[in-house]
Amino acid sequence: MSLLLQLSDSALPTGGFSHSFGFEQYISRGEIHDAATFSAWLRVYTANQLTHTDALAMRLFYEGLPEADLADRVVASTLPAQLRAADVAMAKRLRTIGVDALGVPRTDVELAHPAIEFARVARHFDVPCADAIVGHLSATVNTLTQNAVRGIPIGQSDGQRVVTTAHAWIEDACRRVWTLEEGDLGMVAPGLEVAQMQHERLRARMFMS
Amino acid sequence: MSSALGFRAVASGPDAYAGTMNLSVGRAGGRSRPVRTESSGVLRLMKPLHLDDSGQVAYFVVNPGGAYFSEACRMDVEVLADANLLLSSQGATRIYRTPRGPAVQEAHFTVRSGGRLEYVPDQLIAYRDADYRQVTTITMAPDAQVFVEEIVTPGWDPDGTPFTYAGMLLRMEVHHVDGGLVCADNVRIVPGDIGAAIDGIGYMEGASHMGNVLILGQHVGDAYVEAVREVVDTSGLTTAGVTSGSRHGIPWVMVRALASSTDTLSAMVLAINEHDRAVTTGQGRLHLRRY
Repeated sequence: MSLLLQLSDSALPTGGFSHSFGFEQYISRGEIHDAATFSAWLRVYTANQLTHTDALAMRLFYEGLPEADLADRVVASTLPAQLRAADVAMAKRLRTIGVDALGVPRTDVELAHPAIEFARVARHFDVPCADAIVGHLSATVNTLTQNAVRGIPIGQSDGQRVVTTAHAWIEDACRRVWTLEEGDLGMVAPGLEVAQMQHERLRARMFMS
Repeated sequence: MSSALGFRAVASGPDAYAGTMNLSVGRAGGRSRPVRTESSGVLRLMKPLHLDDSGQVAYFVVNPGGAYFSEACRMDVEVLADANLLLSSQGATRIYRTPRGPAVQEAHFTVRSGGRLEYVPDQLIAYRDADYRQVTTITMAPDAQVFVEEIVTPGWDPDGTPFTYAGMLLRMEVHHVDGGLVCADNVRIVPGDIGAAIDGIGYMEGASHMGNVLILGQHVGDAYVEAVREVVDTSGLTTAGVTSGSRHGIPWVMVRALASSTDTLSAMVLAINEHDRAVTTGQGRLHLRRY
């Protein structure tokens, strides 16, 4: 439990602080401008990206899918260039923390995604898969909401209300991940992805993705 | 059946297919020519054409109207070394209601060294209660060239309600001939699950049509990607994104656009194709007589 709390602390320098994963594009289009519109985006993001990439990659990692294949699939399935760069950079930091601070054995598997590195640390400490998924998804939702608080901006209380509402979406993602198949890995919702691609050309931006 | 890539809808065994097609083209005497052309069931291959003087061979696949009631079709296409194939369809692929399970299309393309594939089918239209799964795999040599596009749209509904199809899963994977995944595009639109949100943020965002273009090959460098961005910028499509990458030594660029008509998306696709041809084969703009 304390390990999960440590890993899920938004202060942990995983680099999530600098990424909006596409919602900044919606801010620039005027489509995200308050807690309600951010919440609508976060719900779709949780039901798609966090379910089909993050949660499913963690499940497949725990199930023993060869790690090199899993990394290859995750990187190849992440089409928006900024997202790929963000995932690899965050994965790198988390792997370093795992090795240097937590005593997780070194590995030379390709760096692909922070969800996989979260799973690697959690599995090393015998954290059950379902708990690890909740931990990683909660951490991501918290970080994204903190970024929305700064980026839109919205108030801290509004942000916490969004996080509270998001608990149900995370639980839903955790239920649905067990019904998915390997072939569902990386499945996207089209609008989310178009915005992530468009962000590459956003002129004035606070976030790297 | 579960392959290494695991997908519930892929049919198993040759009898499971309502239609199959096996096409292989090679190059001889300065021209691309058929090596093997077989089709069975509901899929038909028209006779080969040479639409210009480039030596490229063009084939049109016929999907008779009403096909795919819950059936699976499979296309196997191989472009041998240095051959150049244009593959299109004669009219839109229409998927009607599928009460006995999803309609499935599997397409497997192999493009050998120096080969070139242009896969430019007409749009796919999913009508009320249609459930559709499409799995496309492309296996290519690092010095091959690939241009693929697709446009998908909901069909007309008697009530005038958009998005009455049951679901669409579109998966495309590109593999290096020596192994390794270059890129994979996996889109899922299930209106029943999403409800009113299908029009909202993240999903179709008010659009009815989705168009995708994927181009791979050593010619896809920074200047090429910039040129594609310019074409997309001038297309008038506001919900369109361009991104690029390179993996296992094969560079690629991908365009995804949401719109409310086939015409605007087709115009963008053809303009991108025109640029692609200008920097590769020198062929002029593609004319399929249907736009």
